[in-house]
Amino acid sequence: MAQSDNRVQQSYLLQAVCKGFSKPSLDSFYALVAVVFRVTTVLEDSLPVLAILIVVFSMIGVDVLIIGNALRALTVIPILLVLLLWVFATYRIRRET
Amino acid sequence: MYEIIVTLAVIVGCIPCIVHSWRVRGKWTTAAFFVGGFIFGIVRENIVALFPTLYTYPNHPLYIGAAPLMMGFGWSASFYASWAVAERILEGFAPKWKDSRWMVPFVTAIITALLSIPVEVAAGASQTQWWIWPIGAITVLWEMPAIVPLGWGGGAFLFILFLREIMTRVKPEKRAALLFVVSTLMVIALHLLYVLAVRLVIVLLAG
Repeated sequence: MAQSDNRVQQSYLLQAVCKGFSKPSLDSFYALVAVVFRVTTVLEDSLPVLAILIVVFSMIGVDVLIIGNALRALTVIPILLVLLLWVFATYRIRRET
Repeated sequence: MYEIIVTLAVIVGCIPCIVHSWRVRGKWTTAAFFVGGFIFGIVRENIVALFPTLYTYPNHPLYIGAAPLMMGFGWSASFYASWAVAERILEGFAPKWKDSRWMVPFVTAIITALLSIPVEVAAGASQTQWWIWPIGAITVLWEMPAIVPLGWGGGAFLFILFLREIMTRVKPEKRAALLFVVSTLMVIALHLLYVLAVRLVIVLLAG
């Protein structure tokens, strides 16, 4: 709920900012800002996944470089499959909205 | 050895979780989660240190009592990241369960259990020994005891169940956050009882 409120606020802010422009490039500016907002939203959504990836890749590094047994690194496969599910779920939600 | 690696990974990994929570769930839920998570980690591990039959933490750079500082961030970061991923997966594939009282903590528990596997496999090796399990522990994957995924998962289930119930039912949010932080002591007690019960079952089944 808080996230959608943020998006509405961002949209109002965008409209307010753009009222000050009257150049032909306004459409491009709108498109650019929309892309920036889109990327920001995707990045924000991905933060918990980033946290998991930080831990997962640290553990892979430890398995391979310190313990010296690459087989141990295969234990990340189940959690990586979960993250793949997260990607599919995110795609599905965005496609529907 | 190399304890700084797990300490940094956990603390750095906690930062995006806090930012995400603050942006998506608001300040009081964030405060409840991460203050509660810090208390959960530190108090729980100090209690665990009193049980010689459970694991020990040698050689960490910073401690609060007998608990390494990283445990104040480790439990909450893993619970939070798993919770956020669980919510997204439920929303995408089973929308009718996305707000379910039981299903959200249950899926969070499964994801947390899967996250525990690479961490514990790295932690228990003779080259690292970030934490040491007793010699009699029943192991399933290199040095990782069978209880580990069940312990992590059970902790996530209880933590998320309590958090969601309290933050939903109690108003205003500030009071709910305070209540949850206090109630983490009950979550710790329940989790330790659960862990001891699961360990007993594993010993009976394997023995």
